[in-house]
Amino acid sequence: MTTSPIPTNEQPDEQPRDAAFWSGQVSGLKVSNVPSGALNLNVDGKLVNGPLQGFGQMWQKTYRITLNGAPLSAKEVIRVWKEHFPDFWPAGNRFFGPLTGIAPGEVALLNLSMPGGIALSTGVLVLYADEESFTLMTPQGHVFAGLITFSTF
Amino acid sequence: MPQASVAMNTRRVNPTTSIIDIQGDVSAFAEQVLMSAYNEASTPTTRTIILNFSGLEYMNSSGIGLIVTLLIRVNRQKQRLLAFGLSEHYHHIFELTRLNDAIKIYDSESAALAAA
Repeated sequence: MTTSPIPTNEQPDEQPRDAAFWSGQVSGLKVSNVPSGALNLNVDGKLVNGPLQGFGQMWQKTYRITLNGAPLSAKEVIRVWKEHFPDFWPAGNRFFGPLTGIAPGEVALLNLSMPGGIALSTGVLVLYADEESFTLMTPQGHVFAGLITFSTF
Repeated sequence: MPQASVAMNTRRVNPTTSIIDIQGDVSAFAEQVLMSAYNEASTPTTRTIILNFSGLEYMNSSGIGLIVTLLIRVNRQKQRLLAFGLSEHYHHIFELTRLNDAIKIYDSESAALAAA
């Protein structure tokens, strides 16, 4: 699914620098092209949930890794991270990214192995993506309600 | 760590209401500036914190996360968080991220103060 840019009455040259990096308005998620092998359940028509729409204890967790001596710029790290994102998932869990890659407004499917042998099918919306970060937002029915951001500097 | 490209000014309008004027970029690097502004805005009698976004020039998703963090701190102090000055673009961002479920948005400073 690709959403159109957020409609605005602002002139193009008045648009903030971040305008192109955000997903467009989403009234309900839709997966247009289901990748081969992916289970597409619990995504179509779902609304996105931020951390404020969840229940229970709210957590903010930050994981930092320093890449000492790595001959890559911050932007290159994010580029590789986006391109190979499905490859970094734990065994038994699959991220089916959109054909156009991780880009604002795209919807990815997740097929997850849960305890007890249960398979969970859900997805994520690419809420935001620029050259140095990308953020996924969870839909109703996901294991948690919130945002997850991958970034470099 | 890159420097924050943001400045925030705190105004204590009355014993129960403070305004934080935001000028520049709100990203993860603005955390210290924002939390310092909140510490200055929040007094034992403060009940409402109003964010003035009319000077906002850029916000990424980490900036949204920062606003959520601020909201949690505000709520823990039994305070409310309101906002005004959002451009149409950033108003849509608040709707997209569903931040508007918890932070009421007003068209003007006077409207926000009237609601405080």
